[in-house]
Formats: sequence, structure tokens, C-alpha cells
Amino acid sequence: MKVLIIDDDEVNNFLCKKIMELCDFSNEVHTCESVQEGMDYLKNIKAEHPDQYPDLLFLDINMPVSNGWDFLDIYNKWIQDPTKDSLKIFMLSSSVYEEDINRAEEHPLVTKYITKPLSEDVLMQLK
Amino acid sequence: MVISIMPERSHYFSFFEEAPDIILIFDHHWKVSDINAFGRKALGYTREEALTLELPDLTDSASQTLIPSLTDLSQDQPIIVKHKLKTKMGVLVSLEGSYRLISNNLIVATYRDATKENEILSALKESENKLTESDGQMRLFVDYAPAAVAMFDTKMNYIMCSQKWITDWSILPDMRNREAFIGKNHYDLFPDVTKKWKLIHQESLKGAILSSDKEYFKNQYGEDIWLKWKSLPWYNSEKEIGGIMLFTEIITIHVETQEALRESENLNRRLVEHTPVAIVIQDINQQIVFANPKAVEMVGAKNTEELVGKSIFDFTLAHNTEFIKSRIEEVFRSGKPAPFIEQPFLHKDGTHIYGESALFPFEYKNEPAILSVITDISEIKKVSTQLQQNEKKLREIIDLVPFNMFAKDGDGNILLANKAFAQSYGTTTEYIAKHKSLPKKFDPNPALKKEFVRIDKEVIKTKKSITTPMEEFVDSFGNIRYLQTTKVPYTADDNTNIKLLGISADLTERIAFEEKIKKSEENLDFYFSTSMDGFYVMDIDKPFVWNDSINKTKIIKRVFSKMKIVKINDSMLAQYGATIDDMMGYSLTDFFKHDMKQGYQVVNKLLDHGRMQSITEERKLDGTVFWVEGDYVCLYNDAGEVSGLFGFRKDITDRIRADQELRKITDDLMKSNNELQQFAYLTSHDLRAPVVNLSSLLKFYNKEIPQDKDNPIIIKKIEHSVEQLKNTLNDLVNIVATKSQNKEEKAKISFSQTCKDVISGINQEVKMAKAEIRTDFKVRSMLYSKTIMNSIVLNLVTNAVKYRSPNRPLKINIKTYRYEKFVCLEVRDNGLGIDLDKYGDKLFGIYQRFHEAPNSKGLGLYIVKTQVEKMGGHIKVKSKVGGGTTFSVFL
Repeated sequence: MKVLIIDDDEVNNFLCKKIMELCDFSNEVHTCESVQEGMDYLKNIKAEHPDQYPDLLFLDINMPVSNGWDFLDIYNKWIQDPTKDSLKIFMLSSSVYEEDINRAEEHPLVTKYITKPLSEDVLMQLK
Repeated sequence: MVISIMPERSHYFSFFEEAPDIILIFDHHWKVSDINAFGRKALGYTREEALTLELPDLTDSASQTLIPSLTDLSQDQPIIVKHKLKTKMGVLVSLEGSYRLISNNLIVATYRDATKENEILSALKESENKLTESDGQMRLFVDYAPAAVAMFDTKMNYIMCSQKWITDWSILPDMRNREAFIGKNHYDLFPDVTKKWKLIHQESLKGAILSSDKEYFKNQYGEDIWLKWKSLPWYNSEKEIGGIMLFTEIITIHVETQEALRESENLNRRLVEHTPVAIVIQDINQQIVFANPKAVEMVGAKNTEELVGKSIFDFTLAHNTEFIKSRIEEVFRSGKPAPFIEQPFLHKDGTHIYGESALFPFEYKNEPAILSVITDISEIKKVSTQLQQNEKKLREIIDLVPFNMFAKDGDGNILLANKAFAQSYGTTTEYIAKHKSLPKKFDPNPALKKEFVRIDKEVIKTKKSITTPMEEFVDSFGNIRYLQTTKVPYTADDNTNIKLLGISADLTERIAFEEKIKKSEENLDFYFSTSMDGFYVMDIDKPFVWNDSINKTKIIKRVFSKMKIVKINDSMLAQYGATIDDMMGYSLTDFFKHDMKQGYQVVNKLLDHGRMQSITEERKLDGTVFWVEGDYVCLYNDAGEVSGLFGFRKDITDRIRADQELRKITDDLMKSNNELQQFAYLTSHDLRAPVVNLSSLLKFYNKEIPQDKDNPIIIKKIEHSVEQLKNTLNDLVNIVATKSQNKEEKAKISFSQTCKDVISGINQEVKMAKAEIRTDFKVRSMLYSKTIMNSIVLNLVTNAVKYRSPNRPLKINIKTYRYEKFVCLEVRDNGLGIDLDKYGDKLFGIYQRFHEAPNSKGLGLYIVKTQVEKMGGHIKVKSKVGGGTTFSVFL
């Protein structure tokens, strides 16, 4: 399972990578610390190594400049046809605000909302 | 041979001149009319002298008593009396007098000496014979005929003429005696004799007897004369025509009188026939003996026969009979006429007719009778009844009129007054009708009365109506009333008898009402002027109709320019900051010129509904904005057209401002609230994130195997998270402190010192950035809060360091200078710059970060702004992407 994490918190990125390794969830985890970086990566991979295209994306909400919601908009525009999209997007945030949770659950591109920290149990469910 | 000359005349013969007796002719006053020769000789008078005498002159008194009176005398037989006659000398001679009447009331008196009676008798007989036979007889006769007689020969020369002839026909004075005529030719004496007469003369000379009873003749003076004449031949003793005799009698007067009489008879007849009055003659038994056509017509008969012979009581009403009888009796008794009285008569068809009849004593066919003159007043009666009814109606009407009405004549007598008039003076119409005036106590005061009399006279004189000045009087109920009377001249018939009609208007109520109005107007004015609210009235020159059928757009344009202020109170002037001169005549355009759209909306609404309330934004005269809450009402005239409007205006600027303030505060609060929410959100995130991380990190830390190779990494990560946490908490504290602090203690701050302190505090970063810092402090120091100043400089410099460009070495310029009442602190860098178009309004917002720089939480500028504004200043930014940023802080 190829995983992409877009989060500005490097600690969080480290922790997610670590836990995915420990659970044998995935060894192929790439992290980006901004929406810009994330989009560039995806575009790049899609163009150069389409087989390397990630299967899962863990997307943080609160990021400077562009946040998680912004990413979704940009991503949506890029992929054009959501039915052809293979990427499963999960919203990962420390926010417990209902608005965020609802918004995420209702978003057509988002599969599920996950509250930090990412736990083994949650990962098992995703497998 | 006796010539019958005047057959109709009584016989008269005399041998006057030649008779041997004294013959005197007297008129019926016993004046001597003629005297014969013997008489003249005997008595010693000339003829002229004798003509001046009267019988008493010729006798003595004793004889007078013996002489018969006129009434005793007759034409048939003489009366013989023995008495004395007096001569001129006065000698009395006894004689026997024979008196006899001849026609024309003349008396012939013959006196003779009785002794010589037989001689005289025989001489008389002889004379008589002679007379009857001789020419001379003719002459004598002619001479003394009382008619104008002339005797002519065949050549129309005068043989003889009577005295009367001379009197009647003599032209010139010298013709006044017989000598002028005798022997002269008729045509020589009267050259103007007409052909007609000549002809007559000729005919008579041939033997014709011609005469005329009445012939028109123009005499020598050109006068109209009526002549009775006869022309006949006379025969001499040889029975040949010796000539003609002419008899003439001037009967002008006689004829004229006759004519007149005939004329008047005709007239009378015509009058009687055609007069519009009925004339009835009744005899002593009340039987109609004569009725004129009018009488016939009056009773509806066909002709006089229907009346004549009937009793008058056939034509009168039964109940009047006794009265009529007594009237008639009175006339007969007194011989005086009975005056006109109104009487009913019976028409043939049974209806009653009305007449006024007078009775006159009369004679009809020599019998006493009564002449009734009856005027038909049926019509008049009808009219008068009608008139009475009309008058009654008129009276009813004028009694209904609530105004005082009266009519006066030129002398001030009241001819007519209606109930209202009478009542207001506490009297009745009957009283006024009777006395022709009001009760004395209502005489107006002398001055007023004089004025009224003057006006009355003027009205009658000028024949123009005049309205009197208002008169105050106390009526019969004790109330003060105000009357104003209009006096109008009128005449019932012609222009001579001018009367006055007066109509009074009771102004009392109106006056009271006007007083009330005035009072309430005063009240209104008082309220108007003292009201604290603005009050104004607007008027338009031409009232207009406002409904759905008119062209509203067109009309409203006019309304805006022509509807102008005519009244405005002080409060309103104060609202506008204007004087009365400024605003009098203010039009709607003036009011709304700052926002005509609003104006049209408002006015349209007002006109549609007739009234409205609205809040509008206005402009004072100096342009200042203020707000009013207005109550507006349209004013209408009787025709339902809009004639103006008035408005109440309350200045609600304060309220609006308060509202606006409130709104602003609310907005601010909301913004603040939002900020806070966001702050809370982000802060909680910023707190949560590291905490979450820490707990995960701790889980990953291998406590059992401390030398796990991951442990150091984990520890490092733990440090990082703790640091994050600490920072967040610091910022929080900072913000809270900033927000809550009320007073900032000011001290004299040196800019250069502050900069030194700040830079040394972040020395590491500065060094790392290899930043070059330049300063230029035109303002060297100021009174300010030390903490805030430090915070400002720190944040700005830190930002400049954080957001430096990787492409060039960082240059920071810090300078101060005066700007208006501020000190401007400017920090300029040549860093990354900010896209102000994109982020401009978020720049100073909380947690706004525009670059992914480490440790930038986006709070710095927020804090600076808050602090600067707290100190009463503001901050501005200028920036270009890739060109650097300049922050200007106005302290």
C-alpha cells in the first residue's frame, strides 16, 4: 500500500510513518508538508511513475497558506473525473470540532475522517 | 196783399215810423229797443237818446205799477193800461198804453191819445191798408224786422235794410248807418260776394224762393259762420218783380252748439255703449229700463232684452237684497249718489261675479230713476284673491327664511317683516304690521340710528344696494347678536315709489366661530413655534389632482419645484442649521437634492397614501448629515386637490448614530467573536497537536530499551513538540495580556536604544540571516509604552528576518519621522513581499500566515496592530511580491 501524507507537522508525519511500519500497514509512505508540495508530488508521480501513484492519502486540515479543504478543491480540479480516481483520501486532524468532522464526512472525495493520533486499530480497519 | 215772409215767425206788424202814435219797442229788461218818429217828437228824444232809456225813465212811479209785467204779456192780445209818460222835459202826459209781446221777447208799446182814438184807429186802418199795399210798407217792415233783412231793386241796389242787416254786415265804421246802404249797389258795397250768391240773387230775381237753414259761410274777417238765409222776389203794386229781399241770420253759435250737442250725444251714446263699466238704469220699482252692453256681458246675457224689464234682484244675491233696497231708498230720499261698494252679482250661469257699484239719482223719460255704474272686478277679485294667496305663500316663505327680512318705505315705516325679524326683537309680525315699526325699546343707539337712516336714504336715492356695518344688539332672549344687513331698493310699480328691502345676516355664530378659530389658530401657532419637533407647512401655487389616472411622473416634477415652504418653526430651522430666510420658500427639490431618488420615493408614497411616516437622511445647510423621523400629511382643498402638505420632524440623528454605533460595535464584536473563535480553534489545535504528538511519541519511546536507536529521534521530536507547546502558550499569554491591559505606562523611549535591544535579543537569527540593518531616526525619542514599542519593533524585525528572500542578502531599514500629529516608525525590508491584493485584508488578522516559514504562527502582525491601535495609532503596509515590504507604524 502506497501512502501519501500531507501535513505540515513533521512530528505527526514521523509518528504516522512509524506506526504504519510497526503495523505492517505500509512501508511506502511519502510525506509532504504543504498542499503545494503534495500536489507537485502527485502530479510528478502520475506523470513519471504512474504505478507509484499512492493508494491512500492522509490529509491534515489545518495547514498554513492552503489547508486541507483547499487541497481537496485543487485535487478535484486536477483529477477531473472522480470515478477514475483510485486515491482514497482520509482526513486526519487533531480537530474535534463537529463542523470539521461533518464537513469531511460529507465531502465527496473524502472517504473518512480520522482523529489524531493515528492508531493501530484505525489502521487495521482500513486494511 | 200780405206777403208772408217768415211764415214761422209770429205775426208782427207795425206802421212804426209813420204811425201817429208813440210806438216804443222794449226788450224784456224794459230797455228801449226802438222808438218811432212820433214818439221821438212827442217825448223830445232823439233816437240815440231814447235807446239809452229804460221804461222807468219814461214814466212816473205810479205808472210803473200799472204797467204789466213780462209774464202777463202775450203775443196774442195787448194789454192796455192808462198811465203817464214822461217827456225829456219831464212833462207827464196821460196816455193809453198798449203792450204786446212780439217774438224774440220784445215788447211793443203803443201810446195814443185816447181822445184821438177814432182818428188813430181809422188812420191805423188806413195805414194798415197802405202798408199792405205800398212799397213803403215793405220798407217799414224791412226796417224794423228783427232779422237782418235787405230789400233790393232789380239791379241789386239797396232800397232798404234793417238795422240788424247793417249791424251784421257792415265792414267799415262809416257804413254803420242806413244812409251808407240805401241806394248803393250791393255788389259795390261788398265786392267779395261770391258767384254762388250772385246766382241766388239772380234766381230770386227771376222769381225763385231760395233758402237754407244752415249754410256755411266765411265772413269778411275770414271767420267761420253758419248762416240761415232766405232769398225771394218782392212784387210791386203792378204785380211785377220789383227786386229781391234777403233775410240772413247768423246762427253760428247755435249751429256749433247743436253740433257739439250732437257730438256729445254721439259721444255719450258711444260711451254708454262701449264703456267698460256696466250702466244700468232702474226705475222706481227696481225694474231695469236700460242696460248697456257691458252690463249685458257682465251677467252673461245675450242682449239687452234679457235685462230690460227684469228686476235688478234677478241679478243680485238673495242675502244682499235688504241691503240693496235700503241703499236705493237712501238715494231716492237724499237725492245724493251712493258711493262705490263691492257687491256680488249673479251671473246667468249661476256663478258669482264681483262688481263695485255706485248709484246715482237719475231721470229716465221724465220719471225718477237710479243709474247704477258697476265696475267688473271679478278679474280684479280673482287677481286679488290670487294675490292674497301669493302673499300668503310669500309670507310663508319669508317666515321660513332664517334671516331677518323686512321692507321699509322711504319714511322708515316697516311694510313687511318676517317671523325671524319679529322674533329677534321679541315681538310678532302682527305687531309690526299694525304699528309699522318695532317696539321702541329696540331703537338702536342714536349714532347707529343716524347711520342707518343715512344709509336708507342713500339706498333710495342712488337705487343701489348697500350693506350696513355690523350691528351689535341684545335680542329679546338677552343674547348678544351680531347682524349685518343688506338693503336693496325696489319699486312695486314705477320708479317713483322706492321702497327698501332689507335682509339681515346673523353673523353671531360666524363671529363666535371665527373667534374660536382664531383662538385655536393662536394655540396652533403657539404650539407650532414652541414645539421641540420641527414643524412646517408647504404650499403649492396650483393645487393638483393625484390619482391613478394622471401622469404621475410629469406632475411630480412640477410638485418638486413648486411645492414650497410657507411656514416653518424654529425647531426645524435649528435642525437644518438655517435661518428663516434660508428656508422660507424651500422646495422639495431643495430638501432632497442630495438624494433625489430617495425624495421621489418618499413623496410618491406620501401622495399615494395621503400621509406617511418615514425616516430620511437629510443634509444640513452646511452639508452635515442628519437623520429625521417625519410624519407627513397632505392637505387638500374642497375640490379634493392636493394644495399643500405639512410635516412633523423629529431629529433622530443621535438615535441613528447610536444605532450605527451599535451596529459597528456589534460588527466589531462579531468580528471579534469570529476572531476569538478562530483563535480558540487554532489555539486549541496548536495546543492539541503537540500534546497529541507528545503522547504518541511517549508511546513510541522504548522505555525497556533506552538505547533503542529510535529513542534519540523520539526525544528530539518530544523536545520539538514541547517547544511548540511553549510557544503557543507564550503567544496566548501575550495576546491575552495585550488585550486586557488598560493603561500603558508611558516613558521616554529612545528609538535607537529600542532597536539595539531588540536586535541583540534576536541576534542569532539576524546573524544567520546575514541581515544588514540601517537606521535613520529623524525623531529620536518619544513618550510611549516601553513594552509595546519593544513588541512592535521585535515583531516587525522578526518578520523581516523570517520572510527574507533567498535570492538576495537581507537589508532592513528602520527610520522614524513626523507625519501630521503622529510619529511614523518605518521598517522596510527587501524580502519576499506580500501579495496585498490576495491577502491585504487578512494581513493583520489572527493566525494568518502567508508563507510556510517555520515558526510563523501569523500572530505577530495581529499583536502589533492591536497594540498600536490601543495606543491610539495605526499601521499601514506597502508591499510587492518579490520586492520587499514596508511597514509604517503611526505612533
